[in-house]
Amino acid sequence: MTAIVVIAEVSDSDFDPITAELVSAALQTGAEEVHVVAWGLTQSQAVGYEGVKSILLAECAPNSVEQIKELIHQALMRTQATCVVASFNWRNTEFAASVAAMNDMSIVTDCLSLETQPSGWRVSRPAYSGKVEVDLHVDGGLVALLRDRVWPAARRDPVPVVTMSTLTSVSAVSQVGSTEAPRSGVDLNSAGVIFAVGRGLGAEGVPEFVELTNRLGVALGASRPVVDAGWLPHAHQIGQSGTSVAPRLYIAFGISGAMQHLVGIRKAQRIVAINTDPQAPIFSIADVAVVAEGTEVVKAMLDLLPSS
Amino acid sequence: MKVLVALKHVGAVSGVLEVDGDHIDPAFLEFAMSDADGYAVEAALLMRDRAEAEEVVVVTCGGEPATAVVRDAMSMGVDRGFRMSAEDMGFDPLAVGRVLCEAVTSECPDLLLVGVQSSDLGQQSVGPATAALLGWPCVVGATAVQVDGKTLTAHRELEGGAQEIVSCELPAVVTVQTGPHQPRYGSFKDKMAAKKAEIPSHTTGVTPRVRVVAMRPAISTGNAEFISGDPRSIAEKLLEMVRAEQ
Ligand SMILES: Cc1cc2nc3c(=O)[nH]c(=O)nc-3n(C[C@H](O)[C@H](O)[C@H](O)COP(=O)(O)OP(=O)(O)OC[C@H]3O[C@@H](n4cnc5c(N)ncnc54)[C@H](O)[C@@H]3O)c2cc1C
Repeated sequence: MTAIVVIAEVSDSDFDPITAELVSAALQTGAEEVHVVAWGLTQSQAVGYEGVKSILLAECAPNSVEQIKELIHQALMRTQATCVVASFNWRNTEFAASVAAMNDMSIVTDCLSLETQPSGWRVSRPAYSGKVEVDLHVDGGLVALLRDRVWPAARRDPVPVVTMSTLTSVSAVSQVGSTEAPRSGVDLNSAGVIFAVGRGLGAEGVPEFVELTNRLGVALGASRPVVDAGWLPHAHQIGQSGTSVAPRLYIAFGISGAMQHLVGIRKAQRIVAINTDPQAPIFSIADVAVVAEGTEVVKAMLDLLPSS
Repeated sequence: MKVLVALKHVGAVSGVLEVDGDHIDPAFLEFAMSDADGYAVEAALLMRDRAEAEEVVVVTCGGEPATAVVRDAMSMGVDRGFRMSAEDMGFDPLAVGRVLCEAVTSECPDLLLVGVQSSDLGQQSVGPATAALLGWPCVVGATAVQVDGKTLTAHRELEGGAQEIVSCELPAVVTVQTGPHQPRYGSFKDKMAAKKAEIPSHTTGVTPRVRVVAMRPAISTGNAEFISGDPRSIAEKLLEMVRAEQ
């Protein structure tokens, strides 16, 4: 018997919609049993999914990586599962590899497919900055962090809820302070049109790009390396560790399309990407793809726009 | 205090690639030190500058060509480096973790730094895996690291750009995120020394449990409408799109 434990994502006192994708991914692998592990929900809020065997519900201290690890270990012991499925996000990367190490399993993140095999698992994931897809064979148990929006959503349906015992682990790492994201006059959230600059335009390309956005009166966004290098302040950064935006039109210059950037532009209505590389991963989500030298396009646009 | 920094020699695809069964012809790859690893080296060197660390040692796992990243780090100014000779296990972060445990056993560092992710695969797993295997605390995604006696303090990133300050006791593992402390260029003297240095290598008995069975170019065109032309005609089309929204 093959069993899978799905680590639920929870938001607004309910399963986050991503959980439904994780469940359907687990159900599609060919495993006989799928269990969902959750915390931060009450018993009545934990309504399950069709095909799921049980929900294992626990009380976990908020953001306690140690307790999450303890809980998953308990769930694995209880269900005899040989695979843990969770979403590929920042929180989960903090515990996923340790869960694998502690339970003698392997880890693969950013999975695009997942199947059982006689002696383990078969998964696919991107490689070489998203330009290649690889199929991997994993011997033995696996912790798989899945890319979202790849699998359809599983249907909701009540299933038995099992309450797990109290977690006692304490973390060796303690929080001693925190700071908010730096605020500034940059408003990307309400912008209708955003021009975003990536590492591909280079340090020299950025001043002209800024001039272009000024002349056009559009908002200025950037990928992380542009901010890391100090070419633009953090307030312009779009993505997982920056701002999420929802413009009607998003035009990206010299941005490759890493997952951490793309999560920030999901709500954009129309995405245009300018890149010298015809295989740039950003083209997979773009509505309009332009294979061109970004700096030359910027110069040509400036030529067409009189400076005031 | 002694810091060990783990480095990955990563291949980036240059130009339009071709895949041959289960691998890419190395002719399509340009090799370099993984992005975040450069920041990890910088974080270690900053600790040495502030006299929090006495020695900064680097290690890479891989074949002979991977010594290039050890030399890169030496030309930034680290004290020395070595290679754990291993077959390609890049797809198995736990296997890399086991190799790093061997390196930790022989070097006995107080702190192990790794990049938050490799720029080719982005698994974000080697640091937490190694920490779990060693039984050491792990700080993930640090942009600044400081040590005072046996206590480590780090600024780490949360989603959306917020930060938290965390602390733990040494020995520990920290995964370093790219950030404001750009990797330095070393002095002429360091560069010369790096060129000439003997890079010792040690063999390991670790075998990966995750193996590549097939590889193909990702279908990256999706549903995009491709437009081409000279820069001016592209500029005109883009301006039209912008004006339609303003
Ligand atoms: C925890 C974590 C959080 C992260 N958060 C974020 C985030 O919030 N936002 C973010 O953006 N990244 C984030 N990243 C980083 C992310 O993984 C990528 O490294 C980053 O998005 C790459 O930025 P880029 O596309 O500008 O650079 P690259 O990936 O280097 O891409 C440059 C692109 O420019 C193209 N190019 C080169 N020259 C030209 C030219 N002349 N004209 C046109 N195109 C050209 C190249 O073909 C390439 O596609 C995060 C990473 C981690 C680990």
